[in-house]
Amino acid sequence: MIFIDILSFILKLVPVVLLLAAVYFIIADEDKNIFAMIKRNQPFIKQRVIPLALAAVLFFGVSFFTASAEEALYCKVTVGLNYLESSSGLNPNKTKFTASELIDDGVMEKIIAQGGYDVDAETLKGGFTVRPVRINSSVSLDKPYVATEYSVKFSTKNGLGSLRASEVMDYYETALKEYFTETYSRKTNVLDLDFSEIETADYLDINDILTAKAEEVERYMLAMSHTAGTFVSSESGESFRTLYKKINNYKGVALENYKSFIMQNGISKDRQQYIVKKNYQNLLLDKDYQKKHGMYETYIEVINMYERDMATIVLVPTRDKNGEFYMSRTKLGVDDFSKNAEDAASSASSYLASIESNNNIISVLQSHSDNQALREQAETMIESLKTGLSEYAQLAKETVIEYESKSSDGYVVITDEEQSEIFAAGLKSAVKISIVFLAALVIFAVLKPQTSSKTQGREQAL
Amino acid sequence: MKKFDIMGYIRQFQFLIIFISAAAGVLGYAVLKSRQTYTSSAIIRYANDDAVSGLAPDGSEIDTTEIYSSSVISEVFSQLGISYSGYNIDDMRSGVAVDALRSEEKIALDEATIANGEEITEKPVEYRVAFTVKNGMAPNTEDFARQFLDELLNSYISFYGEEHINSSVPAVNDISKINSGSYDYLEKAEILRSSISSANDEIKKRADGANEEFRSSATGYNFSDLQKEFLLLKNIDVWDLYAYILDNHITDAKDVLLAKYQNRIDEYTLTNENSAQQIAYVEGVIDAYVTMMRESGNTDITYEYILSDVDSYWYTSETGEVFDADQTVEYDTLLSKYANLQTDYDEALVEVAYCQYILDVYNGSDSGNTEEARLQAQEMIDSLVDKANNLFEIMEVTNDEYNEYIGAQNIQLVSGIAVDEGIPIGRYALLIALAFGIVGCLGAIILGRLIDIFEYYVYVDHKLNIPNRAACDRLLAKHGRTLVKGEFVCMSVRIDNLRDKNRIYGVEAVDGMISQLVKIMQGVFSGERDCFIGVNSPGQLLVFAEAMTGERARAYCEEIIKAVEVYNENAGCKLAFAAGIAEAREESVYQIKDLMLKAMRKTSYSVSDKDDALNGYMGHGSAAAASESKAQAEENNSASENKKSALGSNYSGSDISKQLDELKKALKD
Repeated sequence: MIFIDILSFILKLVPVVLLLAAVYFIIADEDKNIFAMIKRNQPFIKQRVIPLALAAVLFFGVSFFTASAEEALYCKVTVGLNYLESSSGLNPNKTKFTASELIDDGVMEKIIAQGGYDVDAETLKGGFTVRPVRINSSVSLDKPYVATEYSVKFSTKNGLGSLRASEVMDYYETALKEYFTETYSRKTNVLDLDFSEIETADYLDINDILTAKAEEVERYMLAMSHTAGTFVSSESGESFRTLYKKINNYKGVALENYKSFIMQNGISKDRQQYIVKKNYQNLLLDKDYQKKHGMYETYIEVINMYERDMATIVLVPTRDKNGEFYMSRTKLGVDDFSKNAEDAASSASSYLASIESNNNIISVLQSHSDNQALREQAETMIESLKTGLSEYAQLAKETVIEYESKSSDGYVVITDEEQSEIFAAGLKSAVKISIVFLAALVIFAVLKPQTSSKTQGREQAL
Repeated sequence: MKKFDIMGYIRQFQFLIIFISAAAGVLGYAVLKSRQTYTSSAIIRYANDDAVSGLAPDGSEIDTTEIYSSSVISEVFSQLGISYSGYNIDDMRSGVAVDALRSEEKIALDEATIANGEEITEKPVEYRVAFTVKNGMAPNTEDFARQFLDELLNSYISFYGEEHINSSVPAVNDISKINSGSYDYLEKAEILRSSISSANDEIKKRADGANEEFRSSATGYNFSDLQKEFLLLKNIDVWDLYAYILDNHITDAKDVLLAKYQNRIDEYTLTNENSAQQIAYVEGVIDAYVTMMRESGNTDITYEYILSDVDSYWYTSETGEVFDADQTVEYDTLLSKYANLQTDYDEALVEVAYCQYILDVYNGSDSGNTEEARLQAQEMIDSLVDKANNLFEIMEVTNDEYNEYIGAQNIQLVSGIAVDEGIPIGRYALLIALAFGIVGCLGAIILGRLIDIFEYYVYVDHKLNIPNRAACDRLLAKHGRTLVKGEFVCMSVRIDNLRDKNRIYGVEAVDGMISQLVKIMQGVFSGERDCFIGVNSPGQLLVFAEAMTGERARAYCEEIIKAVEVYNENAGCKLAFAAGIAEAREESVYQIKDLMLKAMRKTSYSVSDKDDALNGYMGHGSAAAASESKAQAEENNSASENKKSALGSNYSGSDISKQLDELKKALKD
């Protein structure tokens, strides 16, 4: 590799040296008449046309070899960020994008796994260079610009000589796309419903679990309907809005029917245990209720204690949000106490409602006895509910994935150099430098003074 | 003295000038490169509604110094894997600069506002953040400058989201080590209930306040999902555990548990005794306050006493800090304190009742507290802890991403990162080389002219204005170190009868005559390059030509003779000389001194002295002999030429030497 670098440097240096020598010849010549110098050397040129051509061909050969060898050492691709938020300098999840993300450890680990390389992620990362394709020298409010295209180059220097650059870059392309998809695509794990908890839960708790899971799917679909309101799945013909509505109906009808059935028939897996549980729940809820109720009463007492002549109310004319006049009253401590009393009462009511609900469940369960047929019916309903919800969740997941694949398209577009392009680039580079070399060589030859008689004299003397 | 030839002087030192200029350029490049700096910059915009008032979403003032705070820079170090041994945080901090930017429209608006005598209240929301780093700080400094700023902005945005918008995680995981503590089953259940319940309440607040659009791309959850998960734990799993423990009276150590709960009752009782005392004090203060206010007439306040305008809602302390003015009246404070004390008192009573209930439960039969039941209880605890821990972990990751998300929504990147060089090295290096080139040219002119002056006094014959003996010696010394080339010619010209002519015509006339010969020679050799004409001694001139054949030299010599003969036709003091020519190749002599001696020995060409006055002065005999010898020499010369032609390449300079010897002998006779 060092040999190639040195060779490449020498190849670039040769034309420079020849041109410098030509400049020297012009300076050294007394007449400094370039045309006279050319004329003087014309016979010399004519004699050496073939050697000059051979030198140029040889130079081209070496240049082409060097360029091809360099292409084998370096490999470059252009990564374009292919999502809406990229032009604002953001990732697809709307967090800030940093260029170093293109060579994140996660990407490196994927490359290592694919290639089975015996290097760590940090070392492999050392071979990569990331630069924006366009780098401005200044920033301006008048011409704001955020880079969305990056040039990623991999070199087998820095202790990575055992790797093949083109192969690593092939793995990189796959790894980067995978990384972006894994990191930034919408996760659908909440749509993968797990019903394992249902197996041990009692019938009424199953209702709560199924409701919670249905709400998760419902929320997902509602958020997606805001993001992609017009999207309709080509597979199922469903939009996010229709799915949201369907799950909402599932909650309102299927789950409600199930709960009604359980409550009407007082069905439980372990009636006694469930009653005990509800009693203890009530015990602790009552503890919270007592505290909130006590707080409520305290604030009511304080409000009653408040002496009316200790503060004076003034009405202040002001405008409301609609710009209409109304009289605003100066606030007193009583207002704060009232607010606190209201909050405490609200909490106490909530606890009381839960206690009453639990009492209702307890009384229902106590008024019924176990009935195997009803339990089996309940189990059937549960299976039906699970199946229904799973289908909705699966449909939702497929719709999300379809939307993602259509809207994101892998998030990144990677353009790499084709083999023919690499060959063409090597050829182009070699032709360019060879033309420069030939031009420099001809200039050198036409300006070089002829062999001096002094040398001849010396030769004779010797 | 030589004429003032500017280009000649420059040409004389051209290589030195070029070398010094190039060296100065390269050196300048190296020095500038070592002092080069790279500045990366980007423009950010604070996008929240209150940013124009200089306020962050949490109501605090936007402080741009946070961008380069130690915590942000430390995070950058961590992200970039920068070691603290190689880099210093303060060095990096000092490289960051933040400048407010105003668009042209805003500037115009501000000027108009000021012109109207109004105060500018709108604060800048756009800032240029720049990071400057010296060359050599990293293997590729330019890339490093860009990467550092990129990570700096990333870290700052995350920091801003956490500090000024979303703050830390909504609920703390205080149950992760629950099994390692010395808690009894019931205590564990209480802690779990409290923690999960609290997490549920806090995440609910976060879910209500968070952007509905947000869903973590790392976990797939949003805050509402998490809250529902915690709620399920709270409503199902926690109650199951509680019921199981209490129903079976499960405990590791019943006595210890009972003692603990009895102790709690005692503590609550003590606290309440103290609270009751405090409540009584506050009631006393309230009564006294109301009585005093009424007696002092402060309660008969009508609306006329109310200020029409509030003076100020804040005040500035002596240290310059701004505080909101407390507008709460003391009466409200007293009543508020009373309410708090009474609430604490009531809650303590509830807790006492709960503890008493637990004591009653555990004082009963403990037949359910079997090993199997305890294991079952522990299993339920472990399961609940695992579920809760998992949710806490998801919540932390989700919250971190939300901070980054919300930060990026509130701090927008207006313009991406640009990188600029501090010094345009290439341009400066070129200018340095150019400056040295100009100075070098001026120096060359001055030095060249000084050398000319020196040479004129040391190496020039002032009468003839040609190089003198010293110059000849210098030339001989210069060429004496090497062999001369084949086409090197030495020509010796010896002027005859100088002493006699001096006596007859005077020194001035003779000097004029010699000058005339020098002019003729200079004229004849004017077309030759590298041709040296000098005076070796009075009456003896030497010509050294570096690229001249003997044949051409002889032709020049004949031209000189012709010119001299023309001169002699009208001259009073006539010229007479003898000249010898030696070419290195012809003579096979490549040492300059030897070649010169060869030339001196030859007198192949001459102009005889036809000066009557001189002939008369010198005596006819000798003149006739000289004339005769000259004729003989010419004849010999002619014969020699013929012989040379006939012999072709076998011709040798030794024939001439022989003739010269014969000629000298004849002259002697």
